[in-house]
Amino acid sequence: MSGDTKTVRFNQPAPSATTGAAPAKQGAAAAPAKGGTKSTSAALGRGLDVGTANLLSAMQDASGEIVVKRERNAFLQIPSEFGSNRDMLTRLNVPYVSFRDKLYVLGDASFNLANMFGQEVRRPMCDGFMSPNEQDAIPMIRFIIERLLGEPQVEGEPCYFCIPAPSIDRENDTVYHEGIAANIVKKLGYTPHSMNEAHAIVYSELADHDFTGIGVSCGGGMFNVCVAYKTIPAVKFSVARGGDWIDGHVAKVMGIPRTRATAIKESDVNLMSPRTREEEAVVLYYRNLISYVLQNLKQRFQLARDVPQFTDPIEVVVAGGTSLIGGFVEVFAEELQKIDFPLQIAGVRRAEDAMTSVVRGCLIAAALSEG
Amino acid sequence: MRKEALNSVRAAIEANTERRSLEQLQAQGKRHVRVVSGGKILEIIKAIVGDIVDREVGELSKRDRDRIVHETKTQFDRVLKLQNDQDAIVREQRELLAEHKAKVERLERERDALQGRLDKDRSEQSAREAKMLAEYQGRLASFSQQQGSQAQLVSDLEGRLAKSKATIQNYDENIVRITAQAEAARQEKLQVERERDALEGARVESEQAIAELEGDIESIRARCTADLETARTEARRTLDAQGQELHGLAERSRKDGELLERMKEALQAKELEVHRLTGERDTLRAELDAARQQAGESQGVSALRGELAEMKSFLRTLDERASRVDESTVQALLTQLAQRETVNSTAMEERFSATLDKTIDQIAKTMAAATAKPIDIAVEATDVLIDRVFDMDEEMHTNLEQLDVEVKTSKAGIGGNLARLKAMRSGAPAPEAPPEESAEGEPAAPPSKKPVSGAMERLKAVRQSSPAHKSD
Repeated sequence: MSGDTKTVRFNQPAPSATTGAAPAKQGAAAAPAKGGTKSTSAALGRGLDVGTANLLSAMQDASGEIVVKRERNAFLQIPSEFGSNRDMLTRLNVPYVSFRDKLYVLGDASFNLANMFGQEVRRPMCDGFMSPNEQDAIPMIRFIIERLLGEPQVEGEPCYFCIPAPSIDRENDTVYHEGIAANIVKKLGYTPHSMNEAHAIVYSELADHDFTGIGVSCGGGMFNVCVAYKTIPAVKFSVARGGDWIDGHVAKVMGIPRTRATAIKESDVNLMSPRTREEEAVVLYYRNLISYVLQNLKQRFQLARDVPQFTDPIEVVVAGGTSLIGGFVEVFAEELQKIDFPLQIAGVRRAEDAMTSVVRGCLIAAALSEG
Repeated sequence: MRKEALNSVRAAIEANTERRSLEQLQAQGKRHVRVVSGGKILEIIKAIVGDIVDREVGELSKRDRDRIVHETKTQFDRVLKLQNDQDAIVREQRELLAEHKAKVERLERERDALQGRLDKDRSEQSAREAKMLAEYQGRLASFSQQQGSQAQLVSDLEGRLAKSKATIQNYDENIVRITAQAEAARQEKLQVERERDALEGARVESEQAIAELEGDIESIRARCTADLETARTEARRTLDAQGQELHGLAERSRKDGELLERMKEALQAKELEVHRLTGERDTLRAELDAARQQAGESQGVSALRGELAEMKSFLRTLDERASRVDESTVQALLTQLAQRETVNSTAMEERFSATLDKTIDQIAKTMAAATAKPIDIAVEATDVLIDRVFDMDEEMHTNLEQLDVEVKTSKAGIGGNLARLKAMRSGAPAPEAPPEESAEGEPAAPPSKKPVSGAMERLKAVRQSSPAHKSD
């Protein structure tokens, strides 16, 4: 994605001192300031991003660096006769779980083997939430989370995991999802706490703005939005559309397989300059999704009560895999300027490390809870 | 031997013999032949068979003998049939052979005929070719004379032919290119049509969804409008009732005010009266002093002094009584008025506020009822489920502890964020809370006491200025 713009600024008067000066480069604020971390390092505490496509965990090591572990949130059942030589699987670095007479391969390896066996991988989560229809998935996701978190450093170490907000356009089983994740984390010896995933982005990306602004988590299953004022979330919601929604619609309208649509979307596409008809379709659905999110944010903000007064223009930060496509920030800014938003927006930018922004926010919350 | 057997043997003899005429025999050179009759042969056979049977088998009963004869006959018939079949096959083969021979002869004849024709054609062809060769040689001889000029013509023709070929090749390439373009355009058109159909379908679906949503919005709007109208009507009715009550209260207040005015006037009249009496007293006093000065003391003076003292005490009493009554009356009236006004205005305002609050609550409840969703209290036994999952550990085997996970170090740290959060937590001011608002949106005003306090002040001023107070 060379030449991809990561920040778009709107022409606004200079902000007052209350919300801080115009932000310095995000890298400076979020750079691994080892000197700073030594004085404020919090070794205890874990962050856990429970996403539809990927699971990530974060912790601070002894030197204060943030160590992130990632695993694909998928598994595959393979015929037992193929897994008879389990030592071979271990030598090939293929993680497996065998239960009774079934053999399951977890994570990235499941995708590779799926092609070989001509099967589809199975997903424990659908559209951002645990799928109650995949009962087999619960032991699998337990093992993946255990693999990512490992043993706690102390019994009851706090672990903050992200959860999506209830969707405005679909019925979600938030209680089931949160319950499963919390109980798995608790069984592993941690003290579980949940936090909204867009709120986690506010924690990780808006420190220079006194944690005031809008965080948007652009995931595979859904988009989450949080408007926060000095760390306090004022408006939170989600929409049940994400990268998978774009893939499905592009595949349908262009008459191509879904995997092909995904490959096009993840190739060197720039939303500001599509080159083929397929890329034009991708642009169309991206714009529609962004406009849908912004229109609903505007409505939610106008209907909300007890909303704080934002005296200065605020920043919008986007993160997540679906925001990595070229031109996303510019398109977001364009769509934002088309609507009469009730808040003044200083600009739109993408998180420096968009894939780990949510898990870092969770880690910050966990470290903060330790004092 | 029975007659059937005899017939069979006869048939066999006939089948295995052939008729020949005497001439044929003579033609074959036969001069003498042995003639054997069928009957004799039968007897011979019978005798032979009988001898054999007697010799081999011994004495047989008639029945056995008949049986043997019958079996022999059957066997003989079968052999005869076989022999006849074989003869038929032989005859058939002979016929086929004869046919083949005839065919072969015919084909040989045809071959000979064709060979003759071929030889004839070849000779004719040779003659023709020789003739044509001679003719071509003659032409060639004549053409060679024109070769010089025709060579040029040929080369020109060859050049033009090459150009034509190149042109044709270009045309062919153009045709291919145009065909490809046409095909691409056709594919594009098909694609556009597919997209248009898909978009049309999506548009129809969107329109349907929009129509449904609009229908829902309309129904909700109608419901809210009806509810709002109802609430508005009720509020208006309540306000009207309150207005009437307020009007009644105002009327009563007006009447009380009039009474107060009258009492004030009476009080003023009494003050005037007191003032007049005080004036008269002063006049009398002055006259008395004047009379005293003129006539000196007399008996009448004592009497007058006594009367004057009585008058003074009477006036004083009157004055005191009047002032006491006035003051107490006024005080009572003012107090009563103040309380009543306070009570009235406070009550009115409180009642109005209560009514308005009630109306607003009613409207809010109506709106909420129109759009309310049932209260959902969800519970999931996820802890039980997870306990069960962990209880299955003994049945599960995994190699996860032997494998490494993909690990990377994040480019962005959290130290600065943590420090800022801790600073905010320790010393940052809380977000500014909005000012408390009442239901009407304005701060509630204290009950108004202006009218009562003003009247009191005026009364006090009047009292202080009255001569009765000044003399004291």
